Amino acid sequence: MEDDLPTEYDVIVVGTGMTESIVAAAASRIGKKVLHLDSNEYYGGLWATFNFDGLQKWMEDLKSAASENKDFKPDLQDGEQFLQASNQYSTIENIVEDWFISNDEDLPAVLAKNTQTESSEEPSGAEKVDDDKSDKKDTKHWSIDRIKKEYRRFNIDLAPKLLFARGELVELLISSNIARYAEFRAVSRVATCMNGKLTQVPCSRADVFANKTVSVIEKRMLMQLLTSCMDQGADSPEFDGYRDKPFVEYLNTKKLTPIVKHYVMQAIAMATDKTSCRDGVNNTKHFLNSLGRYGNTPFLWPMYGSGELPQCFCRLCAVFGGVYCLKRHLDGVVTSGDKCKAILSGKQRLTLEHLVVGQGHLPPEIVASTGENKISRGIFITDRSIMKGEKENLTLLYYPPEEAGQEAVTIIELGPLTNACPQGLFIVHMTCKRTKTAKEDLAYVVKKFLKAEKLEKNVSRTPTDSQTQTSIAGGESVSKDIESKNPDDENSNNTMPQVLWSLYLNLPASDIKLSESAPNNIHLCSGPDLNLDFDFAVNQAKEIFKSMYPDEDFLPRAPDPEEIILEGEEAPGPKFEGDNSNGENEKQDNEKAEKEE
Amino acid sequence: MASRGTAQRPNGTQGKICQFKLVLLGESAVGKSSLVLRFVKGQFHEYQESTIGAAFLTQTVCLEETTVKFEIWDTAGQERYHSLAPMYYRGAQAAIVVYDITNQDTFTRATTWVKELQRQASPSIVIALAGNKADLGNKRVVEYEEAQAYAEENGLLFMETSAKTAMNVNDIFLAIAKKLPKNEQTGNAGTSGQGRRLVESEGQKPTSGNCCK
Repeated sequence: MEDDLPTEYDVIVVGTGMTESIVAAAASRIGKKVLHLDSNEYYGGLWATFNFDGLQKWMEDLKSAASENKDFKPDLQDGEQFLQASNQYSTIENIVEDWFISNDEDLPAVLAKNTQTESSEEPSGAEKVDDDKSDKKDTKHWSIDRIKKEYRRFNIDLAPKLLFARGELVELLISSNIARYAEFRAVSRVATCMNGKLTQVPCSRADVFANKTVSVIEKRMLMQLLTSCMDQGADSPEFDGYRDKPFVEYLNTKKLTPIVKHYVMQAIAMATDKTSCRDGVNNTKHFLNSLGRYGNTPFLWPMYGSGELPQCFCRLCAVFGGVYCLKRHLDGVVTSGDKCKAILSGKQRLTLEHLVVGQGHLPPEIVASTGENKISRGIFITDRSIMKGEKENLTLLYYPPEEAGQEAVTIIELGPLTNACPQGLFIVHMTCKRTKTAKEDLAYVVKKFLKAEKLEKNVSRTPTDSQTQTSIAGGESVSKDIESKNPDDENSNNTMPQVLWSLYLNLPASDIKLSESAPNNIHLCSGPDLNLDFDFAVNQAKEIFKSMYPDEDFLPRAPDPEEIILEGEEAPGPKFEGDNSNGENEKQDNEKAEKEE
Repeated sequence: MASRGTAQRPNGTQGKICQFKLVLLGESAVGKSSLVLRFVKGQFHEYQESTIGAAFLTQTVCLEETTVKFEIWDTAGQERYHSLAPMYYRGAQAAIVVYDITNQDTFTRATTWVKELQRQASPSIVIALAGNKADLGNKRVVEYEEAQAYAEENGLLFMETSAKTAMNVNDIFLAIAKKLPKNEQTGNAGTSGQGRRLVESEGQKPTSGNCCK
């Protein structure tokens, strides 16, 4: 049974991905009547974050939906044409899921006994898992059952992205006052792989000067270079004659030492040998610009995952009157001439001025190209960080290709503090441009940093290590212990993170294009792109909004609760003991007044 | 998420301020917004339209030792077609699940919302059940005893309320305020740590002081 929706709208948005949600919020914010649909029962589409159970369900739905194909013969008026929507799932490919640990019953008894005695030494910060007695014995050992049982403690991103502290999205969240709906964590370290070893990149001035691996001369060199990138960006005369040449060529002329060059190329500019000088300088500028605002790296991560952010924009849309309906399919669009007049959904004909559609839902007839830049993704649950640290870290690592045919891989490692996973575990996200399948594309990096082999049943990993990675209290002393056992073998099998579970998948390209003949009031929203941040989605949303409403403000600041005044408000608020809040709500909210006209 | 600080209370004493996120749940038209409006602004509108632009209000309750500031989130109508976003529950320390005593279905739905909260929200969330429209006693279909028994079984606070007459409206918020933990651990409820909110003023100050080694 489907609820009937009102049938007339200014804007209908199909899909709750990032771009769609920003456009929905912006249109609703200026008083347009917005309907926002999604055929899924969750928000975010390909931008979604799932708990472990939700992710499993998502994969099952992919399998069953692939075969689904309904035919529609709607009632049409003269001159109208019906275009059937496409199957949003058909573009996700090469899903490979693997477990590297056992079920509870397969755990050898010896192991269970072992952990029982150990558990008394557990640091006080360790969490208690439910009240089920059977859990006690494996507080430290992860089985398939246990991960499934604790599914709620996972927040796993299909498209993990960071925010530059002064990037488009942060500025938009603040200027629109949507920031209050979300919480963030600063990325605590930017890592780079140098001579086969992971090291932390010094980000701030203080970092640079405290760093012992670079000499004073190198520090000066680095500061000089960074200053010239910062001041004028790629337009600086400093880069004359190099702008369209590879960035690395320019760096070579600066007689930088290998370490400094490495930092600039691989960590700050995140460049490959092919990256142009213009892009390299702009990336560097972007990075440096965002330093010093929040935390000691330029990046922020949304708590509970990237999938929270579209929901924040959806909420604003709803707050300003947008109608929300999940689990509601777009059956197709009704066009007449060069206009889209309505959509058909759940036996209803819903009319519109503008249709904003996520790429997975577009009728194939109006798609010109499905894009080149497809995405390979790998997601791993691991038992320790890729790089030992004194506290739990949120790590970004850019890993450039080792040889021809490989793509640069972006790695984001999340710990329990982001609510990505339970204590004692980490989530590693890998993303790169697709060339073959996700598993093949990422293989060289997985091999480098992770131990993705079946965990032998009778081998006990020293789980204390993972505790030092994650526990805040009492971690220090244990960490020293480990140090003495494994002096330096950073990448040996013993200290490499063990993969407990992995998932590979290929996501569609974001550079999909509408055909020339597509009705001009249909606006296409891309799925997640290959960039590290959300700027692409924000800019696309701005463009779409501008093409719909060229004279209107894009997401002006929403009022704070204190500024909202309701009709006929004179009566003082309730009297509480010592209440002093009366008389503070006087500020007139213009938007609200407009709304009521 | 509870942030703490000290504030000059009107009576001149220094008190601790705890801020809590409180979410409202319940079917459309049971009076969620009306309860909040009564609580925050002291108003009632017989034909209250779905509130636009006002789905986020704050109100302060003073207890003996502490001042409790509620950050109250309304559903903004997203519950109408069963499309409430999970971010709504994130970090919520309290919830009021509202039903209409003149409508049995809304009570049934309220029990589903309670289950939803137990599934989705922080395990330590304080939940109150509000049987609203108590002024319409002659049309009552949900018995007080039935709701009370359900609330007791599930460890919920329970009151029948009327946004129209203001009956029990302040009281239910006060009861929640009293039940919320106000110790140092509050900020860590449900998670091992909380994130930061982004605000305009931040970022002017250099961070050289707290950089890594």
